[in-house]
Amino acid sequence: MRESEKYIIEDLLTESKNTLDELSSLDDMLRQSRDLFNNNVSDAIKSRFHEDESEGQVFRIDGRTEFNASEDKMVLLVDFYPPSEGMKPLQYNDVSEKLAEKGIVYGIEGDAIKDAIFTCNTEGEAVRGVLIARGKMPEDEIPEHVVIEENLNFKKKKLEKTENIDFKEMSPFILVKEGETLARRIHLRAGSDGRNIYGEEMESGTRRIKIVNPGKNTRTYEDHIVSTCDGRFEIQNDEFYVNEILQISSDVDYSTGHIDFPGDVIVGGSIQDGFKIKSGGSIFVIKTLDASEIVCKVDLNVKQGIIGRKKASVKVGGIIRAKFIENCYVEALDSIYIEVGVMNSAIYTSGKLELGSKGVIVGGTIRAQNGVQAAHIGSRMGPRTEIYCGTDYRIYNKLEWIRDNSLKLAIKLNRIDLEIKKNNIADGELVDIRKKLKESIHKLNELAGDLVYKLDKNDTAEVWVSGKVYPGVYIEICHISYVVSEEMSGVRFKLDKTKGVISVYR
Amino acid sequence: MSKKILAIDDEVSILEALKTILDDMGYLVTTFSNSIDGESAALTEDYDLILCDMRMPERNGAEVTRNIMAKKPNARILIITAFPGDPLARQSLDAGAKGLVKKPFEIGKILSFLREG
Repeated sequence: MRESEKYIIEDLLTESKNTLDELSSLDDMLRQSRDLFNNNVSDAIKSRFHEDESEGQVFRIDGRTEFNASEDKMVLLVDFYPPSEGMKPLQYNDVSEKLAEKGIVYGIEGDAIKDAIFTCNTEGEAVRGVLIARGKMPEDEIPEHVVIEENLNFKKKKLEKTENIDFKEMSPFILVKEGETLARRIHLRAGSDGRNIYGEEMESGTRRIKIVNPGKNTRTYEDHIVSTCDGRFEIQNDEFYVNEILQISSDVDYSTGHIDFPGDVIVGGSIQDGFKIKSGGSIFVIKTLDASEIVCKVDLNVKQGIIGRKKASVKVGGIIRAKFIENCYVEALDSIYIEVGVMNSAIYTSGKLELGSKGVIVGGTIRAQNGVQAAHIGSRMGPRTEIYCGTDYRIYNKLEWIRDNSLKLAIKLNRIDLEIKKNNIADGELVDIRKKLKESIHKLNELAGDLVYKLDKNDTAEVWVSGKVYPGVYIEICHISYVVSEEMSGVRFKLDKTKGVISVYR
Repeated sequence: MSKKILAIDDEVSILEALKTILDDMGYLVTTFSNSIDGESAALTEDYDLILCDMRMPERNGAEVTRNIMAKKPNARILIITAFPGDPLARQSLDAGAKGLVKKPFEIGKILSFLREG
């Protein structure tokens, strides 16, 4: 017998004895007069009433439990209540019998029951909400699928603050590099059936997953899907792919930001003032290119014109085609074809500058290694129009840079020389700087000496004017100068190498 | 033997800087900031190249060229100008100047002429 049960029995015995003692005194009363009996009974009842008043209503009950099963039949929570003083404490069997009675058979946590009973009985406190049984949810089968890399997020970045942000730098395009991982292949994971706490089976299903498949310019490498080229990452319908062409249906403006794309760029509208485009391929602009910064490795095609406003810069690795160019700095490693006119611009090309049948060059400087062809050059208003042919503009520009810097150094050196002479300085910092300046000038001169051999490239380059060329136009072919002093029509300017002059052919 | 250069320009700082640079290259450079003095030097001495500014107060580049070429028709003169389309530039070329050099100077063109001459 357990110790607790022994105590309970002892208490019971004591109480019983006391009751019996009370009844024996009642026998004596009954033998006495009726009134005395009545009084004694009345006092006893009164006394009981008073006792009840002071202690409140007490139900003496055994230890017990209350079960709360979840609606989905997956969880059973139990409240454990301790017994009243002297009543039967909770026992494991009580709980297991109740579980059986309620039909709960699956996922029973025996240890949790024991712990709760122990706590409840020893501390005499209720233990509530103990998880006693838990069902098993069915696990759906996950079919094989592809997951796009998180960094290729299509959603535009949310801006926390709008201040200090150059919206020109914001771009909605996702650009990827060759070899970059675009997605990962997730293998099939089998499903498994579940069971609720009543032991009922729950069938598993198949998880619905949006399937996307790799498309063009992608390659699967083990479980990775990588890009096979630089380009724009796109998803359409159920396919993701890398597009080597970036097509912008609108203008390049705040809606697109600056563009930096490894392949071709097609702009359906204009390029707005102040926006930059850098392309690893060609750029096609349907409307105008307005005071922008353009760098492209291949060709630039502008259906309308290039409007530079004296601040735009266009550098192209191939050919340029446009209707007109005005007030713009333009460099092209290949030829430039302009339909209508070139106005007040600095044009540098390693090829030819060729204008349409009515094309005009007015103002500005043209450096075209392989010659110029235009309907008209200059105007009666006489804006400064200079045409240089036969030389490599890149070498020329380097020599100009050397000239600018050696000039600065030489001016400083001469001032120092003056001070040294004036003050009879023999050594010190000024003398050291002088030495350094001289060394720098010498280095630049050596560089210039090497470059000058590469300057002349094409002594057959010519300037062909089908219409008129006006006085004040300056033409130079391989360093030989010619100043147009009278209006001429239908002429070609060519270098006469034997005479070392530019000859005019009609 | 080093080639001799005569430089005539009324802008002294540029003239001296040009001399410093060409000296360093091993040329013997004589400079004049007065076109009349420069012209006289050109007539008394032989130079491999004469660099002459086009617009100077005493005598312009076209006149200097004309005067030098009248007495030394083989002289090699380059005119320094900010505006090659200037009618004076054309006069200089007509007078016998070999070419025009854009201000302050085009080092590539000067070296090319020195190597050709």
